[in-house]
Amino acid sequence: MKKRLISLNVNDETYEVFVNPNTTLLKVLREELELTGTKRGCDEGVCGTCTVLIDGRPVRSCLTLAIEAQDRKITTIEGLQQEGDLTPLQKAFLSEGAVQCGFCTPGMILTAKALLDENPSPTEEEVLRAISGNLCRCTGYYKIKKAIMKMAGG
Amino acid sequence: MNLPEFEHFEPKTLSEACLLLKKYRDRAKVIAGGTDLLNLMRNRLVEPEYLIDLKRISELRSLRYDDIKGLVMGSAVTLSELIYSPLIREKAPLLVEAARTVAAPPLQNMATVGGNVCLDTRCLFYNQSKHWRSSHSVCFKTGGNACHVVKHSEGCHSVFQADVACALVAMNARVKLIGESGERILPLVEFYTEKGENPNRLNPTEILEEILIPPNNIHRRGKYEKFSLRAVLDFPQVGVAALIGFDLDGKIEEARVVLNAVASSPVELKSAQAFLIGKRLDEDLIEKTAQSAFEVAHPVNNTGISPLYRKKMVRILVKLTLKGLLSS
Amino acid sequence: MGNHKIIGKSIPRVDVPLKVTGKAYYVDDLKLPGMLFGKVLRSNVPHALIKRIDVSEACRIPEVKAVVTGNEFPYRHGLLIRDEPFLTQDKVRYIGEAVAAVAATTEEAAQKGVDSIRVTYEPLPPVFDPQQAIQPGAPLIHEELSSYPHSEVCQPIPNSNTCSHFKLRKGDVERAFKEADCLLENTYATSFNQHCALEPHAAIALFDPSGKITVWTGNDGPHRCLREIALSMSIPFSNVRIISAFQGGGFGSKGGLRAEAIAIALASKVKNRPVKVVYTREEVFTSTLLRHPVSIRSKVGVMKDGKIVAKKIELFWNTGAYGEKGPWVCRNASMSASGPYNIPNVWIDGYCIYTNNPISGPMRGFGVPQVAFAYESQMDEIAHELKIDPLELRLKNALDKNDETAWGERIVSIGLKECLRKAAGGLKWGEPTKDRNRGKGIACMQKFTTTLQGVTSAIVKYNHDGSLAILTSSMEVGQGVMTVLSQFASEELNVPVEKIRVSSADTDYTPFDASTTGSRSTYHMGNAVILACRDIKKQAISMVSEFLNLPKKELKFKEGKVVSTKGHEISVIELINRYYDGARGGGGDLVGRATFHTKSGTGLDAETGRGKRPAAFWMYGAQAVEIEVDPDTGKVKILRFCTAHDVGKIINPLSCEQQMEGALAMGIGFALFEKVDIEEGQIMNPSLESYKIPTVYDLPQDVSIFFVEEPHPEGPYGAKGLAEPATAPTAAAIANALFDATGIRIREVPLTPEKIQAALEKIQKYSVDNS
Repeated sequence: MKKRLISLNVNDETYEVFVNPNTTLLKVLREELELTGTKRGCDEGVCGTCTVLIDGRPVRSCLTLAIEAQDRKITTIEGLQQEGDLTPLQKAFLSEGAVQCGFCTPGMILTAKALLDENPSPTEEEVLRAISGNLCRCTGYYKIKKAIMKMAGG
Repeated sequence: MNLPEFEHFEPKTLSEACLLLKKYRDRAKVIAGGTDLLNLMRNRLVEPEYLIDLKRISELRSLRYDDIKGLVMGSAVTLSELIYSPLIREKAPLLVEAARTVAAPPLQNMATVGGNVCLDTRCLFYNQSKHWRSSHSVCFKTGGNACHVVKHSEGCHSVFQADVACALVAMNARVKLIGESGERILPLVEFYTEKGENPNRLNPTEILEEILIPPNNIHRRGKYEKFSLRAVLDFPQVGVAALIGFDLDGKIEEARVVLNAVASSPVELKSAQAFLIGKRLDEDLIEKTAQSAFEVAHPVNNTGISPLYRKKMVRILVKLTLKGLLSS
Repeated sequence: MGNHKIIGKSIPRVDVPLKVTGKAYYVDDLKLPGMLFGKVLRSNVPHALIKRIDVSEACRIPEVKAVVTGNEFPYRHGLLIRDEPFLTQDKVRYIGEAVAAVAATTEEAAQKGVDSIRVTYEPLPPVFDPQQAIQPGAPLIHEELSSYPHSEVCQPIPNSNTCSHFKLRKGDVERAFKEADCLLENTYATSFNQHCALEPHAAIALFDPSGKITVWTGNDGPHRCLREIALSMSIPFSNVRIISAFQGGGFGSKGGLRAEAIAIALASKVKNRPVKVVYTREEVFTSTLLRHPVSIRSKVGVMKDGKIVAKKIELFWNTGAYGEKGPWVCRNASMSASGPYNIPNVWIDGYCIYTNNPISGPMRGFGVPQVAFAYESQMDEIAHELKIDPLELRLKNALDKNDETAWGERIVSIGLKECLRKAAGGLKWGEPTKDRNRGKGIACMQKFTTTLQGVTSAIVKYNHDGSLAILTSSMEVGQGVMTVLSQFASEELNVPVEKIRVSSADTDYTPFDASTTGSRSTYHMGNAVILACRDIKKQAISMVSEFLNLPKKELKFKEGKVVSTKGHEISVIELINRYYDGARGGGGDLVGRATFHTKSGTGLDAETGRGKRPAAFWMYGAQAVEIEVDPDTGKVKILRFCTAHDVGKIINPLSCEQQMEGALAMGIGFALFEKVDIEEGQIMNPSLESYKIPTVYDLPQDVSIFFVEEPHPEGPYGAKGLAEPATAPTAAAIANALFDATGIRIREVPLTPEKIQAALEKIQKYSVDNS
């Protein structure tokens, strides 16, 4: 297996990394780029803790090969903060109590961001559908929904 | 679990992809969304030496319609693209309904319609890690000669669980394959072998290029119902796709009812389809169809829920699907 | 309760800014110089002797730096019973047991090493059913059971598969049964569950040249973890250090030694290099812990007015291949298995039984979800038999303050009846449901936190500038402990929360705490922090008394200053500067410390199961649900969910709601969805696709939460605990609502659509299959 030099655009920065074809985007983000906010929960695409945005849409980075992610715009949780301040969405998660153990949180926030970027005023049903692919074991999802609805002006 | 080692190609054209496949044959696999394939590879169920990525081939990502060919979908169109396409929403709402039930939105952003058509059949004893499977002898689907679900079986009973594919069968879809012997088009229902070991007829040099849905002027209504324990993420325990065409008098002119997750391929209710023609869709007819479905469904114990219960749900689901068509 | 500045306020959680930005570090996020990666070879047979392990091929892989088997690391661990090897030595007892481990420079190479190891097994007859395992002649899983060191909590029966037998004897049940108007005898059963914390188990271990072992882990009891390691290896406690990372959920599965055991075994071989072991999701299912399935046989004697006079209960806990905390779960839950009711005659036998299944251990509720399912289902069966309203029956029998319980404890603080009334009221109990497929059900519970499990210490440092540092070994597992501890300190010392920092646990620096389990931290660590703050106040007064030459009784600590009756006001900065001549050169601090434990705690008598104070405090709650059953599919939809809990005192309302909401989600999972399917000792569904934890769509949106504040005299500001209780009444509430809706009684969880549909068909009220 031959390693390749690839160029990844992550959070508006370009990184050049040497990867094997069988290296997932998740692994590159966490181990090469040391962006550990994206989590490894199940390695089979079910739990959603590995969620990143590719071209603004939530995908499972554990099911994405790093080489497939070239020439795409990748956003991880680390890409949200502007000059060290929490974004309004992050603040909503904080104020509404939407975070407990925090492991699902980066994936949830990115999924919420993708929804709100495309649809700034989602209905409750649209919020539920958007986060339906992110598992949480701590919260029952109630305050996560509330935080996102707060952002929706609801 | 890590992925096995492989080399990776990103052809820009279909012919490039075909050449690669012709060269490497069954040492290679094509990859589009990868949501099925990568998990199979993690479990060491398939270990291709070469992966041929179809995502950069623009022809495979197109969606178009004309009055002669009908709807033509490139195999690498994602399920999300399908769901949000105004063209599909207008021409094939049944597909949108089925696509929305697959897994969850982030996976729909990655998974493709071709991937769903070619989804490997599944089984509790098959979709497990290599270590897990080492507790058992090698089964039919992994190259052995036993079925751990149906003892003394002569073949594999792994179950077909692709939602969009089931809906496509109900829509009388055809598939266009391209390989070293050229192109061929066949009805989707014939694309499936009904054998769990090798569920479809793609030969090692072939790529599924397009899915075609014939144009039709008959007034049709379609519905897909999926039964699973959870509302998202789960594969279907039972699925029913129905497409009924009505004449101007409201009588059934055309009918296709297809069962999902009860066999190694989608199961068309041929006899039901026959007795539906020419009649009005009413409660009695729905009951009769449901009973017919119950009789032809023979699920086995490989999805985590008892086959008897799933059989009962076939009847319930067929009724629900057809009643849904009545009211729409 | 007085006006508090910050107690009772929903301040935002202090750990969350790290979590919403991806900057909270969990074990797998840590990268240490020279770090290696460890992978495990696990058994694929449930019960077998190991004849041979051939690691030669693994050793030849260049990236592999160590391969270790049980022969080279022959220690056993287990704080209740030391029965579990770090790596198995002579035989395997369950599918998924660790047989050998490999450390390499990459995960892939470590896995390659594991895949190349050849093991020769000689299968032994396995036993999977606890009731078969206790029959004479059943294959013995632990032949040396009597040789294992064990604590008093564990009462093994030698030469058997009974890891522990708990007994409770009160009054004369047989006589009471004879005098009862009505007798019911039912058997209830629960299934294996898995915690499914989203963060898989992980640990990093390092043996350094000085002989010290450092372990980085999300273990829920850092000092307890240290103890377990040191005792199992017979090394001084000072040679072990546990450094905590955030825990991405645990729910009871991250106690004991799991990934830690593997990391330590590998690190001991590879020396001077950290070894990280991260479990796959499959390993989390097979090789950490499962919730005990229990079979509960309950005979109850009732008078026709509804007064329960006797209960005789037999519980068979399937504890799997090793004891872990099984004996404790069996003891605590069996002890409370007669329910929160005043019953004069109680006879309980709880058996914690070894089988060749994966290991069972504590899972949110510590056995109470299982026993509550049984006793609360049975309450409704009694109510139906006697034609008494289920709520009335419970209120009639419920324990009150000063009542004596089945185990001989006098109730000190109980808000149970109010919880029942609030939950019922929220559901409009008594009003009939609108549809024949709908029903209402109610259930309640009791759970305690043990007295005798270790003390809880805290250090609070008052910095020169008036900011605070709290040094605590409480683990932030997602429950918000860091925040409530800040609130306690803030209230005591009048320091704003923004100026308070709470440490993570590091056993070299943070003092002993028994563990972050059993809903105990608010109460125990809260009290310790408060006492440590009071220690600071005491020191401050003492210091000021000295340099102002005033009697201490004329001094008071008020709003961050020491004030005297004569009008002096000395701030902390000033007092440090004045008391310590050297301080003006560069500052100083005040260090307050305290150790909290409940006094007069007792164990339970080995023969009668009775003890005056086994519990630090009891928690009570009730839930009432309205459901709708689909008669065709048997699926249950929860229309409305009301949950009420007695928390003693709400310290942070938002945090309390968080616990109630998360707990009810797990309760619904337990009730309707979750079952680890095990066939011949093998888990058939070891993945998050095939094991069904609820998604957002599977939970009710109409939820009402009620709090009852019945203060505990020894709780911090009266607080008790909350994290676990709200998971326990759910299953019975739903089972009871199901009965109300359809007349069918299912005595097994999960209440799957399959079971419900089959039962509906049987009563032929809703006939699905007409042919």
